[in-house]
Amino acid sequence: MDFPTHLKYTEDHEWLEEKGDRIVIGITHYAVEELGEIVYVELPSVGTRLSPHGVVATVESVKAVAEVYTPVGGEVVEVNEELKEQPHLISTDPYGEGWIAVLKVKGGLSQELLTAEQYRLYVEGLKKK
Amino acid sequence: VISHPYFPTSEEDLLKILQTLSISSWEDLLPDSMKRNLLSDPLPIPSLKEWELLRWFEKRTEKNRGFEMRKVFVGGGAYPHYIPAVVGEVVRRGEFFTTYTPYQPEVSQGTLQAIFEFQSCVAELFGMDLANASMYDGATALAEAVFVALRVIGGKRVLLSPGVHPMYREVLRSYLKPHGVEIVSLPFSWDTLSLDLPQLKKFPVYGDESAMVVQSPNCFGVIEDLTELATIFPSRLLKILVCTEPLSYGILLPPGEAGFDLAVGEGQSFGVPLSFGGPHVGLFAFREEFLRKVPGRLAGMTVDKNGKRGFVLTLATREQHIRREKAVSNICTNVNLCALMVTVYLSLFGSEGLKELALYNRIQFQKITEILSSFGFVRKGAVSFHEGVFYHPEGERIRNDLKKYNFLLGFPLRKWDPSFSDHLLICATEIHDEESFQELKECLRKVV
Repeated sequence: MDFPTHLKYTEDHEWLEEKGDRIVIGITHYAVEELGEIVYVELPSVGTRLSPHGVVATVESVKAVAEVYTPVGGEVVEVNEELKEQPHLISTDPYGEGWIAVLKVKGGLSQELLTAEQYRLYVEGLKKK
Repeated sequence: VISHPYFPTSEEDLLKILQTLSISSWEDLLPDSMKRNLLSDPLPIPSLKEWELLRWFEKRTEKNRGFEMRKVFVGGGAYPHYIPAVVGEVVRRGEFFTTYTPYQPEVSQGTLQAIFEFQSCVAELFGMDLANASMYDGATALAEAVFVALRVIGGKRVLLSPGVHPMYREVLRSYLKPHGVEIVSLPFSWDTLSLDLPQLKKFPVYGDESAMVVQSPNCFGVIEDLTELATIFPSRLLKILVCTEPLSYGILLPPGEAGFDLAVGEGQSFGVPLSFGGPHVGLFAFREEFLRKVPGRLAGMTVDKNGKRGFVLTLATREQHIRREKAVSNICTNVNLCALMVTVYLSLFGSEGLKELALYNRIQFQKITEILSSFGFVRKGAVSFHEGVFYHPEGERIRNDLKKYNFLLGFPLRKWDPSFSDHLLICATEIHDEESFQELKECLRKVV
């Protein structure tokens, strides 16, 4: 399973990429495999203000629905419109074309986020359970 | 108190409930009039042979007085209509005889196809893109439609027509109470008994409205101008149409075409027996953009691995068994047997047949209007479908006296509003044949 090292991760299986005062959010390879075939993504509107742990998007697969949370508060400045027509992009390229939204945040990412290595260990722990 | 294998409440629980309510027994909750009529001993059933016992019960049953349907001129949300024999014939088939929506496509193709047909019929009737597999009744369908508006639009206020059936308004109030949503009454003309369009055009909107709810034909039977109403508010609120008599849409402009977003209502008129008020069936139709926000079940058409047509439940990820607390609604089922009655009924008539039946109902209302006018009843309000308000200075007395002749003429509107004394809400349908009208005239001659 692929967890790029330049990204940060959460225990809810989001990945985050820091770009100045903006962060890009998506869901991880592990989340994609757990959800199965993704059929629909409900995106936020640009301009939506989210508090920490707010719901950025809802990802629906054939068997489940998952909320995508942001660990930090911020304003939605961009959403991946492609996902409306092609939700499967999340499955085929979770860290690239499958990005979900860009948030403008105050202050950087919290130190509590996981590195790729920490997240890998966390996921392996989940699999053992 | 008997502990029972199916009732989980223990004697200890019951005691706590009684203590909380500060009463000593459940009978304390009954009004005195009812307490007097409670049997103190078990029913004195004689010890007889089975066939004699049956006769004994029949004799007692004969003492119950009922009205022949053709002599009942009452609607008010539940309508006397003829149910074609084929409805009962199909519905009683063993394969269909379940109230539940089956999950398993491999064993339930017939039922799932019937649901799909039901959805298609309801969507077409209302001029909407889609419909769900049905709700419990018209009132809960309305409440759930308002929830869709709250999910899609947000907002804090619901604009409600006073022409919505009082019981529906009550259900809506109960559903909305915990959500802190305010219900605002729209201006209503008590002359035309319909929404007051000139006043509505001046009605202030603040942008925090979630929905506008209109009933047509409304609870006084009057047809509202849906096209006009759909354009009256410039704001983004959802326009919800509710109806208690969907048969009217055999001839009226469908709400979807008029510009409404959701159309809901009671489906009892389409082949479902009155049954003392239920079970009935809620119709729920909507535009495609709300597909993932609607309550209830949805059947879809698909193909199997061999390319053969098949039917399955679909978009179940909205429902509570998958989405848990984030489900769009607590309704995860429907009244499938009643929905099947509707499906058979609508399939039997088809769109042309339904149009003819609706027209015939309109003509029947014209007939009863003429009869009543000749006995001094005054028709109130604007144009109706098959139900309307009639005033006579002795309206309620006449209604009572007609009961002696086994006629039930209208619903006394005083029960909804004390200022409506001697106003009767009277309805005529295809069930009232020429003989019923003639007999009614003769009886009116005796009592008026």
